[in-house]
Amino acid sequence: MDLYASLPISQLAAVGKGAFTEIVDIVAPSSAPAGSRVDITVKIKNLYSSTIGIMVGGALEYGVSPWPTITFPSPSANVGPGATYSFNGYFTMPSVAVTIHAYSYYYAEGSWYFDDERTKNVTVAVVYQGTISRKELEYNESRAAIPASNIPKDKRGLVHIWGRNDMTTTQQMGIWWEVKDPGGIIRETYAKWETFWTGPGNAQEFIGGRFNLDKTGTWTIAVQLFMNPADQVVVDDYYGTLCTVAAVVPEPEFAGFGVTDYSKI
Amino acid sequence: MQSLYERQVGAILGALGVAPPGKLTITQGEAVRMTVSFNYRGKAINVTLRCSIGTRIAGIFYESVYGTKSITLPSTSDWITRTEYADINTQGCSPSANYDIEAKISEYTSATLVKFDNVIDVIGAPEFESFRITDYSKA
Repeated sequence: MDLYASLPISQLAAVGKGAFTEIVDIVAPSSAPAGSRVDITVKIKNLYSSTIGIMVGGALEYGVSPWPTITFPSPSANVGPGATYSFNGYFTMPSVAVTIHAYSYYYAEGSWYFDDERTKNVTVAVVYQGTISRKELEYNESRAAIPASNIPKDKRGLVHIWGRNDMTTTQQMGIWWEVKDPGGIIRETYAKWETFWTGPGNAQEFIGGRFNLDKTGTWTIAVQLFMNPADQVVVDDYYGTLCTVAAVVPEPEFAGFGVTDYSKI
Repeated sequence: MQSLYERQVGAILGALGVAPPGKLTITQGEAVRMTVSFNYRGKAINVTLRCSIGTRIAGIFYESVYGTKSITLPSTSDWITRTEYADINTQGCSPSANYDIEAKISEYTSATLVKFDNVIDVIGAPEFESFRITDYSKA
């Protein structure tokens, strides 16, 4: 039998922390961008044999004194025996890694008593920034900006996409795109990480494979630009028209021209 | 000269046509409608049909009179057939036999020019001279 669960609530203050509550988990992202709101959930279990009042508290450890607190809009609740209650809170991510320090308290004899604690680290997430800076469709010897219009039917299409590194650090960029014809059929899928790295402010060109623009109508393309190959992040995308393809109209041509008759009128 | 029958049919059906290289005889000043047909494909264009009556001498066509008509052709990848005509006022044709004709799309002469020789005779307009009473008597 659990020693603590058998004690009357009036004696809880004498037992010490962790006696009647247990922080079973802190749900929070492992990393978050600086300045962003970080939502967390502290799950606290009632270890006592009957309902008790439980309160959550929290602070951030990262070298600032006093530790900034974590906001819990509803910091306390009556929790049934054996039940686990989730307390939702949030904080603003500083520019350095932090340790979430969560505390649990139980209520007895008119006061809250500190009982358990748990920590979880959150690192500063790198915010990857890049832009699809240029899109072109090459068809035979010509090029047009995407979305292109009135491309003659039966040309050979070739997509060129440029990704720009908008960060202050050198990055490796990747690309993915998918071209669909007017019938919705996938005509080209292309994916590639650049072999080397691209400096801040510079752009990397990606060139796909050729495909036949053999249907009239609107062709579409979906493009995603990536960074961070180890845990790829989409930094920009484009979903829309690749081009409109028009039927080829030959140069004016006459045939069978003849006088059929002449008459008085 | 048209027969009475031809005139009656003509009155019913409108203009009676002559298929080349048949001969059409007209009176000077009468209008001639020249009908052409052709196949076309290509972009939308505006062109001019030019139909002429004249005289060919040593291979050179000397145009006497002509008529034109503006034609609008649509953009088409497939061949389409069109029939068009132009009316020619022959007032400028001197009465003479064996006029030659030509028809063409002016902007595409090399692809369309057709010609027929000795297909139109032009006779002079009715003309009277020395009309007078020579006598009068009981009939």
